[in-house]
Amino acid sequence: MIYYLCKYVLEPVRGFDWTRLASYISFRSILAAMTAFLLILLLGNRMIRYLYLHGAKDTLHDYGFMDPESKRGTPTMGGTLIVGAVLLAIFLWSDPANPFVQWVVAAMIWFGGIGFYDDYLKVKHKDSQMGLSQVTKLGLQTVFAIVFMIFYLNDYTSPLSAERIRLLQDAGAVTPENYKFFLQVPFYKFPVLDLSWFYLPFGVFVILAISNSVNFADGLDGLAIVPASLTAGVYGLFSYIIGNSIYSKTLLFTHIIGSGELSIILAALVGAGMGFLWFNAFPAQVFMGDTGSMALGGVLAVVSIMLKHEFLFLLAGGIFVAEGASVLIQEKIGIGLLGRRIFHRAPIHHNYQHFGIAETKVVVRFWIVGIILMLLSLATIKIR
Amino acid sequence: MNFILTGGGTGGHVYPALAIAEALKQHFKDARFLYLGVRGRAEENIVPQLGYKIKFVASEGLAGRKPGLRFLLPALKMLIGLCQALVIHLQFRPAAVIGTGGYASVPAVLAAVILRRCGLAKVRIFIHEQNYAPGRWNRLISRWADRVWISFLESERYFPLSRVEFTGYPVRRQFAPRDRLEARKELGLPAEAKVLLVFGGSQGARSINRAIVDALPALLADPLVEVFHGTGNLKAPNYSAVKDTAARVAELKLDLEQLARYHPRDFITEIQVYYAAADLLVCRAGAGTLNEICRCGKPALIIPKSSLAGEHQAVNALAMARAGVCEVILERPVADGEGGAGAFIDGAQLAARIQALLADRETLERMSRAALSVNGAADMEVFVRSVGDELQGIRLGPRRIKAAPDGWQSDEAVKLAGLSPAGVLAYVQKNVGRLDPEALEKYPSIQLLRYFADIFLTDRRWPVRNIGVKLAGLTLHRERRDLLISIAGDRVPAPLYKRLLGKDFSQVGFIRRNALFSLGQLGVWDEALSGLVFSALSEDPYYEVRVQAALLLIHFRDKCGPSAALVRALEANLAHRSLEVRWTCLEALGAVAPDAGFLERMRRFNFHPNWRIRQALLKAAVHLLERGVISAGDPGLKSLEDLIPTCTDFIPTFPLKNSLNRIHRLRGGDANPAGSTQ
Repeated sequence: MIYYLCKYVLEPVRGFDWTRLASYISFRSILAAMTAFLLILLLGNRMIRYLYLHGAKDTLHDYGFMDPESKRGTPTMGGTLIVGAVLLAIFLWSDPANPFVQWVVAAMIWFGGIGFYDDYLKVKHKDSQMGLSQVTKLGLQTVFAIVFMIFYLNDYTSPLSAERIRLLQDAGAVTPENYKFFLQVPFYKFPVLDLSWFYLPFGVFVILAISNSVNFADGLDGLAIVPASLTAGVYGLFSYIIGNSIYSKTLLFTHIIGSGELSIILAALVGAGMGFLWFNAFPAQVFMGDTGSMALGGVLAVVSIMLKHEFLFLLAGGIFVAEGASVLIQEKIGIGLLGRRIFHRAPIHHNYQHFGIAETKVVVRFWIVGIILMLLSLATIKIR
Repeated sequence: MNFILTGGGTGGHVYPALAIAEALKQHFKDARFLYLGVRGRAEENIVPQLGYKIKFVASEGLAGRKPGLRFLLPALKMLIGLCQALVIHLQFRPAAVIGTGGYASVPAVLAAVILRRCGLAKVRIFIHEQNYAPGRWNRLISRWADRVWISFLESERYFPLSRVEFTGYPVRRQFAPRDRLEARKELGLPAEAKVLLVFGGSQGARSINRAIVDALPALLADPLVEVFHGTGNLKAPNYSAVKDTAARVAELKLDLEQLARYHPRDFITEIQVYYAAADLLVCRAGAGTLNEICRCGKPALIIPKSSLAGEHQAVNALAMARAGVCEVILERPVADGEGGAGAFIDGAQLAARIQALLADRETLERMSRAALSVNGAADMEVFVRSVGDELQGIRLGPRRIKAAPDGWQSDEAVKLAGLSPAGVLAYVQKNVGRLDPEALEKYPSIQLLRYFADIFLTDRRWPVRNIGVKLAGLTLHRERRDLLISIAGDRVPAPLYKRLLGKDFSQVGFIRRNALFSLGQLGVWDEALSGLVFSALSEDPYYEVRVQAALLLIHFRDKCGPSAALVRALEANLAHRSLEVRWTCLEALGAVAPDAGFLERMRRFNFHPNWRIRQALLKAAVHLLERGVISAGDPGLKSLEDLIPTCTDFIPTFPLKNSLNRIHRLRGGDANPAGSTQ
C-alpha cells in the first residue's frame, strides 16, 4: 500500500521526492521485516492472553493438577500472530499486483487455514488426537498444490509466461521460452532438464514434502521458527538476486522478472520469526501450532518452486528434510510395514532427547546446523 | 397382496424370514412372496427347497472392521444390488418388505426407502433382529423401518424406541415342550439318569465334537450320566464330523458299559424329545438355539462360535448368562497351520464344568426357571397382527420412553464386540490396565477380554497379533504364557522382499518386544523364560527386543538369581550398536551379576560421554547394593567417585505451577498425582 502511495501520490510532489526510496526492494524489505517484528512484539502479550482465555492452549488446564515439570497449558495457535504480522507487512510494503506476491499470500492463507482448523479442532476437543485426519490434511494440501501448479505451468496464467521470457531474450538472455518446465540444481548455472508437464506432479510432491516437514519440525521450543527464518533469509537473498536483472547477470542466475518482490515477503517472514522467537524461546509462552508451521511450510514451498530453486531446499532447509524424512521412514516403512522402529525415536529431534540431550541443547545444536546449512546455501551463489 | 422377503448371507437370517412368511401365508390368503437374496449364499438352497420364489441381487459384507479400500468393492456391489432391487420392486409392487438382517437384506430395504421417498410406492418396511446386539446392517436400515421386531426384550435400546416391537424369535413350526419322564421313556432312559445333550448345530462344530470326546472318560465315570452327542454331518475335505468323532472315541478305549451310555447321532431329528429328556445342554449360541432353550426352559452350558461378525454369538451368550439362563465357556481360536482358523476347547475344563453343573440340582433349577422367564413363546400371530395393523395404517401406540436411554454403550460386551482391535486395546488400557491382579480377576468382562486376546493372537495381520500380545499381558492371561514365550522366540523368517527392506521374522520386532513385556506383566520367572531372555539378548537382531529382555531381568531381579550365561550375554551387549541396548544391559548387569568385582571391571564407563550410560552404571551399583552382593564399604563403590557428574539433560520446574498446586491442596483438593512423583 505504502509502495503505491509513494510511487503514485507522494513522489511527484515537490519536497517528497525522497519517497522514491520505497521503489527499492532492499529498503522495503528491511521495513517489512521491522514492521512484522515490532507488530509481534507489541501485540504478543495481548495475543497470548487472548489465546489463553479463549482456550487455545496445549491441553486441558485442570486447576490443581498441573505438572510443575511440564509445559502443558501453554497457549498454542501463536502462528496466527506470524501470519497476521506477515500479511500486514506484505500489504503495507509490497506490490499487491505482483503475481508472485499473490501466490505466496494465497499459499499462506490456505495452509495457515488448514493448520488453524486443525488446531481449532484439537483445542475444541481438548485432545491432540482429535485434529484433522492425516488424509484430510494431505487432501487439502494437495488441492492447493495441484491448482497452484496448473496455474504456474499454464502459459496464460504463469508468472513465468513465454511473453515475459521473450522480453528477457530481447535483452540478450539465453533463457529457454518454456523455462517454467525446467529444473534447476544448486552449483550449476543453467537449467538442467525439461520436465514438461511432469513438472506438475514433481511440484505437488515438493509442496507436500516441504509443508509437512516444517510441520514435523515444530516439536520443541524455537526449533521450527529459527531454521524457518534462516531458510526464508536464504530464499530472500536468492529472490533479490534473481529478481534483479544486473545482479542475476553478474552472478550467472536466470533472471525472473518480478520475483524480487518475494524478498519483501521473506524479509517479513524473518522479522516475524524473530518476533515470535521472542516469546517462543525456551520456556515458551506460546506455541505456533499447526497454524504457524503449515503457513511457513506452504510459503517456503511455493517460493522455492517459483524461484526454480526446489533443490536448494535440501540444503537450506536441511533440518526440515531430516525431520520429514525421519518421520516418513519411521512411520511408513518401519512401523507400518516392518513392525519395528528404524530410528530410536522420530522426528529426529526426539531421537536426541531419547539419548539424554536436553531440549534446549538439542534446539541450539539444530540452530547451529541450520546456520551452517545457510552458509553452504549462500556459497551456491558464487559456486555455480 | 405381495411381500418381499429378504435377509441372508447365513442361514440364521433366512429361516426366520421364511417362518414369518409361513405365518403371513395362513392369514393373507392372496399373499405372494418373493425372496431377494445373494447368489451362492445360504438362501440360494434353502428358499427354493421350502417352495418360495427367489431372485438374486448383488451385495457383499464388509470382511473386516478396518476402513479403507476394502469398503470400495462392497459399496459398489451394493449399489448394483440397489439398482436390481429397484427394478424388482417396480415390477412386483410389494405391500411390504420384511428384512431379517445380514448384508443381503440391504439392497431390497434401501430400494423400498428410495421408492417411498420419491412417492413411487407405499411399501412398508419391517425388520426382524434375531440377536441380542443388532447386526451392523440392521442398525443401519432400522432407521427407515416402520417396525423393528426384536427377539430379546433388552434389545429395544439399540433401535428407535417408538418403532420397536418385541415379538420373539419366529419359528416355522411350534416347538411344543414335552414331558421329561415321557421323553426319557421314549428314549429308553431311566428316570434318575443325568442326561447330557451336546450338539453344535446342524452342521456340527468341530471344536465341540473334539472337546466332548476328550471329556467323555471323565463324564462317563459317573454311572448315571448319559451323553447324547449330535455330531452333525459336516464333511469338509480335512474333517468329517462322524468319522473323526468315531475314530477319536475308539482311541479312548472305553469299556462296553461306558460306551452304552454314549449315544452319537449324526443328525438329531426329533430334537424336542431330546430337549425334554436332557438335564443339561451343551451347544452353540445361535439365536435359534437360544430361543429353543428358553422355550423349553433348559439349563445350558453354551460355547459360542468364535470369530463371527461382531462376535454376536459371544454377545448373545453373555447376555443370556447375565440373565442366569446359562453358563458360558469361550472357545479358543487357533490357527490350524493351513492358513485357516479353527477353535479349541479344553476337554478337561469342559468335563469339570459339566460335572459341577450336573451335581448342582439347585443351580440347574434356577437356570431353568430363568430360561422360561426370559422369552415368552414367540406367537406367530404377533407378526401377522403387526403386519396387518401397519398395512391398515395403525401405528404402534405411544411407548414409555426410558428416562435415560442408556444406548448400546451401556453393555460392555456389546460395546467391546463393536470395537476395532485397537479400540479394544485402548479401552483395556484405560479401564482395566490399572487394576491390581485380584480386582482384575473379578472384572466382569475379563473372560471376554481374554477371549479377544485369543482371537487377535491368531490373526494373520501382524498389527492385530501385536494387539493380542499386549492384551494377553494386560489381562494377565496366564494360560497363554507358553504361547507368548514361543512368539517371542519365533524365528520363522519373513517373506524375502520384506527381508530386503529390513524385516526379519514373521513375528515382527514389535511383537517380540511386546511379548517379552507381557511376560513381565504375567510375573512368572522360570527356566523357559530364562532361556528366552538369553536367546533374545544374544541372537535377536532387533535392538528393542534386547532392551526389553534386559528390562525383564531388572524386573525379575529378585527372582532370577545370578546366572553366568546371562552375564556373558549382557556383557557382549555392552558394545552393541544401539546406545539404548548398552545402557539397559549395563543396568541389568547390576541385577544379575554375581561378583563383587563388577564395578571395577566396568570402571571405563565412569568416563563415558553419554550420561545415560554413566547413570546405568550407578543404577547397577544400586541393584548390587540392594541385592546384598556388595556392602557399603565395597572398594568397587570407591571407583565410582571419579565418575563424570555432568549431565546434558535436566528436568525444568515451573515454580508458578507448584504454587497453584499448593493453593489447590490448601483448598482441600486432592494431591496432585503428577507433582508428587518426584
